[in-house]
Amino acid sequence: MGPLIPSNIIDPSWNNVIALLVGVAFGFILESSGFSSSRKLAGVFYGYDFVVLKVFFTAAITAALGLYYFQYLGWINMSLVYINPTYVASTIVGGVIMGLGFIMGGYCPGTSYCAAGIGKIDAIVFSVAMLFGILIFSEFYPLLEGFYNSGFLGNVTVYEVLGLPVGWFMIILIVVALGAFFVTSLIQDKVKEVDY
Amino acid sequence: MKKSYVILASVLVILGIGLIFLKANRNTNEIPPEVLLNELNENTRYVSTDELAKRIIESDPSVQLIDVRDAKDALAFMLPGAINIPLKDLLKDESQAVFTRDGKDFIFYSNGDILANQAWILSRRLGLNRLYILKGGLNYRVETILQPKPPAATEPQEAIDLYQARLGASQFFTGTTIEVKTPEPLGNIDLTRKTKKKKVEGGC
Repeated sequence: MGPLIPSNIIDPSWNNVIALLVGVAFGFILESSGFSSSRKLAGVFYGYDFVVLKVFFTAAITAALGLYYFQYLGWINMSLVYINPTYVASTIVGGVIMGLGFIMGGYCPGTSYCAAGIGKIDAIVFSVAMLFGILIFSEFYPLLEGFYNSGFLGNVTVYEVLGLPVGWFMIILIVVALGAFFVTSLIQDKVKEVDY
Repeated sequence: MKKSYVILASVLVILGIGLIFLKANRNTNEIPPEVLLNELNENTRYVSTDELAKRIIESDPSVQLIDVRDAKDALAFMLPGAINIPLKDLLKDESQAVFTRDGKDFIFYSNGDILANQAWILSRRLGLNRLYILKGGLNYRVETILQPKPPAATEPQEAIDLYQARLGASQFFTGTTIEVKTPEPLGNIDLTRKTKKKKVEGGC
């Protein structure tokens, strides 16, 4: 049956409309869970608030479990689900740059727009600076192109690269997630509480 | 630790263990043979040499030409902006990386149609989209675009317009200019006025 658009159950021209609705819902939930606070987001790097790690890790394993159960029930054809292509070298460097920006600015791209939406000045500065960064990257793209496309592995998933069955990979991921939640809550108890 | 945390964590673990025992439900993304056959019969995969010439001249950013001939042939001549992916290398990872570019129409070409068609079928079976073939290949392109034959005077206006467009494209690709016949200069023209003979006037 699914995914609904690639299987032509929903016309592809609805793509942007659905994206807008999902985006509004996502932004609303981010904001109402407190993700528009740069102090809360940066807390994960200083050890006083691990909510970012907990929320996104939980979201990832919940969605993954859901997808594979849907596939078993025949509700979704996983081969039609888009998997981002992996470029190892540029992903690592990009991740480091994004991490640095996250620590310095206190936002990731999505949450910065979310916070700019409720009028936070730091988020507006962050969003504008991000656009400026995109401009610089685009201007230097001809120089960076070789590196940008390096280490291409194709549209692969982690369990394919590791050669593990999906089930085993998922159980390892869940155990790692639960372990991370437990350890971070221990750290959080040790670190002095920050009021924000 | 809160009781609700323990319950939620165990739900996740149980669901994860469940996945191990579920039968792996592998469906490939190969398109079904019936669909492929329909597409083969439809002939919508062809791009004419005229359309391609127009899109290259307009530097259409969505055109991604793919030369599926050997590297040796491709080195000798490639269309502007083309990438060489010899048919035998089509399935390699670095070749497949080309097809992840968004917003591109991938147009295969070879000397004739055959290699390009083979590349098209293989790529369709891999589930790739927006794939086209240059109709007639490079040979037909030379015939139509680079050395167009003038239509007979009795042919309709469309044929003459097409010929004009092809002449223009030929100039664009080869850099030649159309020969314009300049009239030969006339020799010295004698402009001396003839003296009028006096008519005989009067008389009877």
